[in-house]
Amino acid sequence: MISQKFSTLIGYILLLLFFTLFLFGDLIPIPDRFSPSENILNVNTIFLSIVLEAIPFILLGVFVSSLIQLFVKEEHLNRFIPRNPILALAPAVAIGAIFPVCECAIVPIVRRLIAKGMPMHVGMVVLVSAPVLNPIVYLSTYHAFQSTPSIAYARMGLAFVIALLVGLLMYLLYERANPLKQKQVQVEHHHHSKSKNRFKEMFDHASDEFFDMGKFLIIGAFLAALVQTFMDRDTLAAIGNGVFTGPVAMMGMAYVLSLCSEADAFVASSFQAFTTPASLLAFLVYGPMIDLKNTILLFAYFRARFVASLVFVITLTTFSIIMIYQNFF
Amino acid sequence: MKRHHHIFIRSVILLGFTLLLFKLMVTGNIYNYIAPKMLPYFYFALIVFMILGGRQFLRGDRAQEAACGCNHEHSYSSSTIKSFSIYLLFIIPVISGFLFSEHTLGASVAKKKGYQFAQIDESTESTNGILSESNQQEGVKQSEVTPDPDETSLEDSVITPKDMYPERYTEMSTKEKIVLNDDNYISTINLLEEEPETFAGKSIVIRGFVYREPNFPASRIVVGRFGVSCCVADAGIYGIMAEGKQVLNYNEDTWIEVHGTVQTAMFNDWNMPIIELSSIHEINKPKQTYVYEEIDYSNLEQ
Repeated sequence: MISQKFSTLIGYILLLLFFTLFLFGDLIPIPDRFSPSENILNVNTIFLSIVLEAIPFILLGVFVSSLIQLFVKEEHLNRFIPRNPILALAPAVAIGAIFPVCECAIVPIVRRLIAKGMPMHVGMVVLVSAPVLNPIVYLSTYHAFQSTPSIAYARMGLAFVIALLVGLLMYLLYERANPLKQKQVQVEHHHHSKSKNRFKEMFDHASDEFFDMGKFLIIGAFLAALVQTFMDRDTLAAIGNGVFTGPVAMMGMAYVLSLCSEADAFVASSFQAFTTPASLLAFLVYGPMIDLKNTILLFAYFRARFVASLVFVITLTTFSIIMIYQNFF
Repeated sequence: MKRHHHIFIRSVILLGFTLLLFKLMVTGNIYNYIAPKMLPYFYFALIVFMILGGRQFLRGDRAQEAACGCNHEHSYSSSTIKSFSIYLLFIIPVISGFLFSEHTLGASVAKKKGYQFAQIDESTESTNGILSESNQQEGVKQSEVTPDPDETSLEDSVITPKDMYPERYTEMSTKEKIVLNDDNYISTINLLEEEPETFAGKSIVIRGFVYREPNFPASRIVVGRFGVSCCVADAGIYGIMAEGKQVLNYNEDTWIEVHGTVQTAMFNDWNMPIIELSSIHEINKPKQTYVYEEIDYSNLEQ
């Protein structure tokens, strides 16, 4: 009983706090000695910018996921996806290429598709290809590398190949195992088709999902903000030229920076002066497929071991393909 | 913690996000986090938060509503402490957003991000005009930058900043004075870096914050601003070096207006623009501290 009264009380205090801050936040004087240091403020600003930027896309993803939940039947999926696991990769890349969905939004969508019966490896192809194989990303890369448009073409080409290989390897590793956390699966059996309140239900689902994912987003954004504020780019840049160390350094950078795939090309172009084109491509292909923020987001829905092997497979595949590319071009 | 407590607290948090977004958008401080082109998404997010918050609030009101039987229950933790630590994660960004949204990135972040010229080896530096004496004392370090054959073979390809910003290029070439403002900042810097010789000798007016690379002589600074393409996490510094005795008194992060003449200097075979100072004075930090990458895709089609 006490804890229940306490919960309600906290809720009201919070409500009051938010309203006070909303109305008078700017007027609250923070004495200099209490105000946080420059570094903490920088972490906070970068943290908030990652969280804020991700929020509309998380919400979009959550809504698309709710729509799939309500309107897509398992039969629909089965009709479009070939039974042969290898052939099934083709429509997956097509889905990935058509939907201009960024990496935050794709997580709840893929999770829902898998829960609806999409084979796991097909889902993984969609997960890794959608954020990079899309028209917006192509245009921003083309713009950021105006003087070397081959970067944009190669980014799309390599992403295509790597996405297929990731799907294939994940199939070989897990076949048709269920990668979702058990408790999440129970939600999926659906019984509301008769309900007239589909929209209310959609909003409730969306809200629950926002809170499920939000905590992972916030932790991921915070870690990425810490790295952004304290990591010296020069350290990684110093090794950016080696045949092996270059791509490794740039992939490491892509992983920890956790940039949105629409914007990462501009950041990559600032590394142009001190790294090789292959390393730039490693950065551009690897980052959207997997990064620190997204790894943590994946933990929201997928089993920990599965996430770990996915990260491993993506890393290994990207690195190998980049090495091959480097040898031939 | 019962289900309706969860729903009540969630509705309060959703309301908190609604208020935060609303306030950031009204005060314009949202631009301290994201680029203006992203704004439509935030209208969407604001409306969604409002609807979700309202819906959760009503859902919470009917506390006794029978569980709908679809096993939602599992997603609500029954441990009070665990639940509150999770909700705390959501509360922190809302509160810090209300309190510190005026803060913007400055020289300390620019250092970590690395001004692009910091990488350039200065051992082969040779300068045109006034700059030669002051650069002598710099340490010599071995070049790690070897031009990559692939890159050079691609150099002679199609689109240069000149193609990207044809109007700005004409304007800068014809006028005697180059004045940078919020809208032409990125294009002007790009053009100056691309073709420093074309604009050498012209007078220039630029505003930005003071920033120094560790290997700079005392009389040299960068006048720069952060350029943002989507959100501040992808911000990069855009700036020009300026040199003159007057800069000694200006600390990093001071906002200044610089008048001078464009000169060129060779740094490791790179021809760079550098401003020869004629005057410098402190200004107030502008309301809009960042400049934003605006892509005009129509210029790309040739």
